[in-house]
Amino acid sequence: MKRLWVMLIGLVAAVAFAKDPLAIEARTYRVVQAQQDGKTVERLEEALGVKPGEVLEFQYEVSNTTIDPLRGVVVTVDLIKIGGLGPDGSKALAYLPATASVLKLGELTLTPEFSYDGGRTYGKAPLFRKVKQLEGGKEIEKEVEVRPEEYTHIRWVIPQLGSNSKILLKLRVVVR
Amino acid sequence: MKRLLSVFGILLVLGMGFAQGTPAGTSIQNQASATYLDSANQSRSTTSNQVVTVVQQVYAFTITPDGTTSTPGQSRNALPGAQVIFAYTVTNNGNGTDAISLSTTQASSGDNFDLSSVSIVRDANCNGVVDSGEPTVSSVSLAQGAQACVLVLGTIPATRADGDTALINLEGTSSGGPTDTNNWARAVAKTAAALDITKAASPSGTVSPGVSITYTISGQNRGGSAASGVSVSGLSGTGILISDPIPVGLTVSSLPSGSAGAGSVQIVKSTDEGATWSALVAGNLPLTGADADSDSVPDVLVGMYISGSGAFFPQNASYTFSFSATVPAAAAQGTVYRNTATLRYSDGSAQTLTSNTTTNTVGSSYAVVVGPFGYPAGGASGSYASGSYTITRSGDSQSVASVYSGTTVIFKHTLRNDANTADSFNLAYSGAPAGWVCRLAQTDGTPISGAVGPFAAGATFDFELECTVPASYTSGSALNISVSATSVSDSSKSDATTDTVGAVALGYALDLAAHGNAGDGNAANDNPAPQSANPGSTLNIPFDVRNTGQVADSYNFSASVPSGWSIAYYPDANCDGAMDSPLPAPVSGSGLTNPATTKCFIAVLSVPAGAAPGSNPVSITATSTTVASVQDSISTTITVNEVRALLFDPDRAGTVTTPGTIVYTHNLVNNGNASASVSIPAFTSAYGWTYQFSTDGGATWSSSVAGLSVPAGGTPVVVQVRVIVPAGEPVGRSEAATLSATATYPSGNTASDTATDTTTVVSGELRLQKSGVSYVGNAETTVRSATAATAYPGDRIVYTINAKNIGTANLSYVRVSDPLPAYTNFVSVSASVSGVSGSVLYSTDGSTWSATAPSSLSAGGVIYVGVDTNGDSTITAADILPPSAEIVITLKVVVQ
Repeated sequence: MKRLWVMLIGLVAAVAFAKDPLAIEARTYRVVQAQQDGKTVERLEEALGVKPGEVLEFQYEVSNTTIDPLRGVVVTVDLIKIGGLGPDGSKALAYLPATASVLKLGELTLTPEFSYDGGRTYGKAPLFRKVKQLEGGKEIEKEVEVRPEEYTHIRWVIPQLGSNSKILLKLRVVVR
Repeated sequence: MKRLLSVFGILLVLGMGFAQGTPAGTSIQNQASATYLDSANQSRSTTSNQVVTVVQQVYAFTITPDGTTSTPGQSRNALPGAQVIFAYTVTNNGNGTDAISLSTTQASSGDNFDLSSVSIVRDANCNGVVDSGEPTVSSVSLAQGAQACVLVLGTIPATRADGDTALINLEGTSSGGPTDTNNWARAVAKTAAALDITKAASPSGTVSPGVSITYTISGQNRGGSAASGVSVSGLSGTGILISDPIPVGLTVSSLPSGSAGAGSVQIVKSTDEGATWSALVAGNLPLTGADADSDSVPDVLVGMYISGSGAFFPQNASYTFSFSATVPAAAAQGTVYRNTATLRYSDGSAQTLTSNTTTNTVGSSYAVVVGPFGYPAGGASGSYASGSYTITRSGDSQSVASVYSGTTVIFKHTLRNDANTADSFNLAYSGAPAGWVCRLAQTDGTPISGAVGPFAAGATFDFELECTVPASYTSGSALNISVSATSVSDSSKSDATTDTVGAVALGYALDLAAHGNAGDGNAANDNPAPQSANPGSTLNIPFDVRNTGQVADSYNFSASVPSGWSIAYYPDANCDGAMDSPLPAPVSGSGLTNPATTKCFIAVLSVPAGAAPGSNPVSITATSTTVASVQDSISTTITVNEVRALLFDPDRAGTVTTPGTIVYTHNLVNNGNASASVSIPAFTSAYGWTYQFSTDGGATWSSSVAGLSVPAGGTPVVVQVRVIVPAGEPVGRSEAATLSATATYPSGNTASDTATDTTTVVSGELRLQKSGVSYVGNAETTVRSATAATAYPGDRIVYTINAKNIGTANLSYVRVSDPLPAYTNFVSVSASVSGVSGSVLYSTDGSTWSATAPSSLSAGGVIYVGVDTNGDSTITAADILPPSAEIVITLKVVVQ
């Protein structure tokens, strides 16, 4: 009986320490500009609090914790889920253009993809939306560029993440 | 004017305004999610830790109008001893509720006196005057984005001289620190004419799009003398001008009204920023506020011109000017309309006063329209293709003339957010008949669950209602399904559009027909041609099944055939009407068959052996596996041929003494497929012998047989033939009587067979009779035929040979032989003797004898049996068979 207990404890321990093959560590920094030696320098500070108008940098350290490569890794950041919608339906967070990391994986350059429709469709920036209009009784379709602040989702599609390797993804938003 | 601190330059590039910002206390919960394939190729997902950042409160507010001691924001004239009122607006621009402390300071230099009895009053209705019940305050508490009107009251001491001034400042301090202290105003002691001006807007504060704001500007000559007018470009004479710019975007559609205590009143307008004026008449309306040169100076003004000559506007005379302006129906939420009126008059020198500022902010108004594809507001026309159907739009509805059951009809819709702000919408449908499976989806087919949006004001969104009609549903009347969109922010705002299905026709149909004729529209050639067949044979009925419906379907085959018949169905892959080679596996149905597709099959009908002749109806039915009432049948007639076959067996031979009688047993076997009536004519002996027949086992005898019923199916009917030989016939005379039996079938056709009985007259008295019994299998358990008329391979036949001395004298050297029948194998032989004492001996060559029966006998071999009566262990002439003695031999064989 004693031996059985030992075995059970061992089993519980094994389950408790079973790690997700893919681990993501999220970090949030406040981007602060300060004057130093007559120059404007940028610092990243821990962001426990933030004020409207300030810029936050979101960082994600994505790690493959296994000895096997992981394929088809899609890391998604949902700005609406993170910041929510204000009382007037506007988003609390606005993506700052050209701040999402462009990754270099060997020969491969991975460009982030964006969605403005709640994650239903993605594309590389700039995004365009189709607008239907009636002109002279005819329905015509126009393409209008979507402003980066309207983006709702950012994602990176990584074909393969090597064994025990890490990548760092970043993007910046403005708190409205 | 205070501004929010710490705005990055990049934000200015973006043109973002942070008038209010994300509410304090909002949690920003940074978390990423990921999907991936692990080493086992399993799809997995994970999320990161969550980092929470709380939005902190930012304090920011403004007090307007701004002013410095050198350039006060507002100026008020009053008689010494009278009260002056300065109107201010306090606005909370922070992201949370703030309490703003208010206080006043008076200038210690740059003016002539301090106001006495200074107080701050909250102007609840923002009309610029102190109304009953409006309290004195030292602070205001404002929610995020809220405004408050406050009035600063002060009294000019009675001792002040004309033209003395006092400067007073309203200062504010936020609970979070920021202050606003540049709000200086000036009070001027006037013994000259001193008109004042206040302005009110009704409603005040938040307004909805489409409403009218009534502005009322009023004032009084509170000075010590009568007031004079000024010259106004475009207007005649001199007069007091009360002017008010129409806020940009607002529209004045009706003539303003006004009255004055003196002078003559004229309603006037200017469209050049107030430079020149002219009379405003109904024909000039509507007038819409504009700022074409974007210089923040409104272009269009309305006013009241009180004309008179000299000092015509006496002390305490008052005036009122009022006009209404309408907020555009499409005004965006948060749009601010500020308005300040101006008064021009002369107290000896030209004076210009501005009123307090009224502020109206457009609140959120929610509205949604949903309509046919491309026409959210209705008024639709034209049509579009949706799958295999054409949807016709008309007004605020769309319809499809008819759909087929089992198919899916898709109506597309367009929704437009007609609110003045972003909003999300709940979509719903109602009215779909029971059993219909409908769902809302995006135009790419992604199902919609929950609200859609948020969508910006004026944005459109296309979506679909997909309805799958149950397979068995039909309707001749129109069905309406209502699709609605309801604002999430204001559930009282919704709109609906109607989708109509004109009729529902059954989408399932088939045509079953003889090969080559399915789907040709001709019902007359559907039935396969009649065929005839022999019993025990098979015949092919090629047929085709065609899906003449709109939906893929499978059909099960069934058939109605006579009892005992069987039918099987084989696919005819090459559709040539002939059985494919190698023989395909039989099927029970068509398998999935697409619309307008024909599949070929061959029904193989097995006619059982023994099937009665005649015509038999056969029908084949194909039934939809989806809708059981959808089926089609074909029928034909199969005629079974009449088979005639009669056996009259076996031939017999026997010996008879003279006189004597012998009985032969025959079987009549009808191998046809109908019962037959058999007749055997009388046989005339060449020697005068008598031939008689018995069909009842020897009870009655007759000279011929007629009308003997022999059933089909091979069951033998026994006929016995008795030959009576008279006395005196010569020994050795033999007669072979060929007896002919004729079977007459129901059709009248006949079949016949003969049996030959050969009878030989013998002198001795040894009579030999042989009979046999066949058994099922090589055993003697179940009798197959008591006469050994029928035996199958493997059956055992037991032959019994009786050799009896029927004479009156002894017989000597008696040997009975019996050959092994062809196609049989020897099993055993045994013999017994009665009526004499002796021992039975056996031989297989007729010369060497043994008391032991042989255990084998080769094909073609003969068994010999004799009785050794003298004890010499062989058969010789000395061995005697006395009268009545009898040898019984039992020979057992098995059929090969």
